[in-house]
Amino acid sequence: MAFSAGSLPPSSRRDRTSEFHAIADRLRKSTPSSSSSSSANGSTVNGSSLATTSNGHHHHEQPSRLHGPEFVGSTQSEFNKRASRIGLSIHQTSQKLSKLTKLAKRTSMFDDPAVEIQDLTSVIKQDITALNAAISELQVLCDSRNEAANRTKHSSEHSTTIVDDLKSRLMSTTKDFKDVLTMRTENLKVHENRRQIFSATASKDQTNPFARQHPLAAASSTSTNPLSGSHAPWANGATSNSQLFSSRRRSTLEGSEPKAAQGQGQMQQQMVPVQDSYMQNRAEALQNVESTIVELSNIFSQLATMVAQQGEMAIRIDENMDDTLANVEGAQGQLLKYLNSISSNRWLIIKIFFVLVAFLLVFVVFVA
Amino acid sequence: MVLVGAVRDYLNRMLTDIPGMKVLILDAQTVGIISVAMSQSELLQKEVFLVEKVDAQSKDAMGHLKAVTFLRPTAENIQHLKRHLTNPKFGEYHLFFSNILKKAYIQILADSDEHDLVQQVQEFFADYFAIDPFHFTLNLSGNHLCMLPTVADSHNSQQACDRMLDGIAAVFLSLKKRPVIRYQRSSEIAQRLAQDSAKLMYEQESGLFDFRRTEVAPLLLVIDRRDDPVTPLLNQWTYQAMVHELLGIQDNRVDLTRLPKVPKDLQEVVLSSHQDAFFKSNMFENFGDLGANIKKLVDEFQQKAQSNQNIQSLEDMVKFVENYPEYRKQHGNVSKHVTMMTELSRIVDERQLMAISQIEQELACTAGQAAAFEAVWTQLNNEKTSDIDRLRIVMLYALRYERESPQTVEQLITHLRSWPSKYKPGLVHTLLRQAGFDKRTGDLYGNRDLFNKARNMARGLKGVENVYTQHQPLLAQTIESIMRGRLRDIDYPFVGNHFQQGRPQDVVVFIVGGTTYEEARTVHLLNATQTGTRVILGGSVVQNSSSFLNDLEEVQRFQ
Repeated sequence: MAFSAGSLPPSSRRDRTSEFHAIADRLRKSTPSSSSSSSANGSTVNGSSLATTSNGHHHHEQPSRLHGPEFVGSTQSEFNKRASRIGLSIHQTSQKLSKLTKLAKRTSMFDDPAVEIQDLTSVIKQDITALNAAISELQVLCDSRNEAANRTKHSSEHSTTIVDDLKSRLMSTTKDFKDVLTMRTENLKVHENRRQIFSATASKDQTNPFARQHPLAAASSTSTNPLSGSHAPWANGATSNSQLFSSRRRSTLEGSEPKAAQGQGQMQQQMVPVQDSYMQNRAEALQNVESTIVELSNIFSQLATMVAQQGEMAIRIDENMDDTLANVEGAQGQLLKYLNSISSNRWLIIKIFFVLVAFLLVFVVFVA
Repeated sequence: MVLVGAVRDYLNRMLTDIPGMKVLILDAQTVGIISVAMSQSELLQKEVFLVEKVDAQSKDAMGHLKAVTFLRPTAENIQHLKRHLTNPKFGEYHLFFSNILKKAYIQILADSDEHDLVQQVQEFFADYFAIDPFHFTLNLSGNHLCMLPTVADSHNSQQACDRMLDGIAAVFLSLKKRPVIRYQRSSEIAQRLAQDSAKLMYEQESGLFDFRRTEVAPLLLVIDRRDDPVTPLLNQWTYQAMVHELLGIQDNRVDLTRLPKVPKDLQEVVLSSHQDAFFKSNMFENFGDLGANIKKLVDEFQQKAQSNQNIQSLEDMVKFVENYPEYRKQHGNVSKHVTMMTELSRIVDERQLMAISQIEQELACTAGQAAAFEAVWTQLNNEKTSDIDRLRIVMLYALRYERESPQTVEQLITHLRSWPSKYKPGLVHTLLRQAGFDKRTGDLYGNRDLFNKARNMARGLKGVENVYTQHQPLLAQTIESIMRGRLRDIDYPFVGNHFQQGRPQDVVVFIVGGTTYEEARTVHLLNATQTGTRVILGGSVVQNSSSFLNDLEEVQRFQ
């Protein structure tokens, strides 16, 4: 045989023992160190190191080797812990948000959970600001770690992705929040309109029906309250009811006004301030909501700039680079192919030319 | 001794580095891988006292033995190992894997190593059956999957593809080379395999394959068995190929139990080129020369036997006793080859293979449709022709003349139906569908372009040395064009951007669907001419005509 075994270099192999030991050690560390199992492990390790005294230094070497990965692991886990905590609270916030949405969707005019909504809104607002702060902190941590040396490309990529993901989640939550608030404002506006329609009509023809009805209303204070309710037309009854209600509230609020002053003329006059104060209440709530939205939009733009800063630029450059690389490689391939074809063709031409010349020579020498 | 040497080198390093008494734990595949490279007695010399299957369920613990496991990195083997490690029988475990070990598997092993028994974990890339120095096989189970489209049985086909990929990767890792890869464009599975190998070698494990660059990168060419369906259908007349064709070789072993009148100690014989000098020098000889050589061997042996018989002095006795083991060994060897030879010639007579083979060779090598039809027709009508031979000559005829005269092919197939046979005549159509003219890339019959036609004619004028061995497999042509750098880029494209300039020093040709010993012989002869190019041949299995027909039957069942 032309190729003897002696001339061969030793065949390749790969030793993965150290990898195996590293994993085994890591697994041992990660399992909860119940005293019995760890002591058992210790004893076996001791036993084996006693048994193989010749490569004892091998065992000695292991702990020092392990320090590196463990250290990296701890910062990694710190990062992970934080990220998971932020994720969890985003989730909680979105749950609250869904509750808020449910509340805000209630369109009934009378049973308006304004206080609850107010509370929830403020809580969510606080949550979101806190989350925002936490994420920017996380970003800083991530950056500092990426800058630090001996970070693998993958892990830094991974942490950046996590941060970006968290950001986009927070962003979408905030967006939802904003949507809910806008919806709420819309709702309020609709209510207001409806109320205005009704109250306007009410105030227009209030003079007469109320004038007529007043004795009944006055009577209601004495005994025939249910009768009056059934007697009156619906809209009027409602307004009268609310009027009664608000008037009672007002009376309790402004205790100075005498109860006896429930005269016909005064009643009519009273209508306006009652409506007024209610409107004011509403306007206040609206303003509140609006201011929240403004604040939110601030947070929003902050987040958006943060995300936008990083994302797009890098992606575009990356893509362009890839494209360029592909183009260059393709060009090289084409050139090589072309070279091949050219070189073979050249030979052919030379050969043909040579044959032609030979024939010509033969012709000239022998025939002519 | 390239491939066999590499596997033996791995085994030596595996077994000599660990002192003391050892037990070797193997799986079904690695048993074969080791047995073709090393004999039992050699293992014993290396203090291996026990060879066990990894899935064996014995209970007695043997703490004084060190376990050396050599396994393929498959999920089942990892499970078996896990069972071993949690419930140990041996004192130490040295884990060797025949291929790239997935990280998840290391994790599982590390997790189950509660008793700190694992001393080392190594990858020794001997993941192929090195049956000859330049010929390897993978003994793929379910080889017919190579002929099916991927969609037919995607799970099994993926497994088969992965096994072939592992084999190719291991060959290159043990040769310490990273090749440029070409494939046969017309074959789906060849393309898939080539692209998978490129991905593995240049992307996933590029660190592992990063060896010292040679001036001209070695070449891996992946081709499909279906491009040359003729070679596995022909009768063979060289020793090794003939034994495989008529008796069947499995992992360099011949099973003779089915034959009548075979002595007990010869029921399974080993035919290995690195253990048997006579076989090594005669494995590529044709049948006639082989007969003469065996005669010579027997004569030599007789002489020795006679010299052993006349023992007169004490000195002679001492010499006799000293030489007796050698004598016994030679005796065994001679009787092995003689038995085989008798068996071969019996089969040749019984099946009239001389006549049939002549028709086959003419069908494969020379044109002439009318004469060929006449010959096939008379042979079909011969009572003594066996069913497999009938089918084969009709197949060969169909492959050759499917376009020139399709009606005669149909005529022959209908005629074939009238004879009783265990094979279905529809196989001819299956073969044409699988490997017909428009499926093939290479110029199988030398009639596709003018140059080849002229060369064929020249060969016809020169005459042939031996009618029975005039056929040259298509592979010879392909390798020749590789050596001249003339393999066409259109038919055999490169994978990726790794092109090749000039003549490669090392060529590995992998035939998806199986090699034949005739092709192994071609490769051996090419390597022996010392042109500076080293060719290694590999395939999913080693085909003979019956295994090829079985594969075709499997394919037909799917369609």
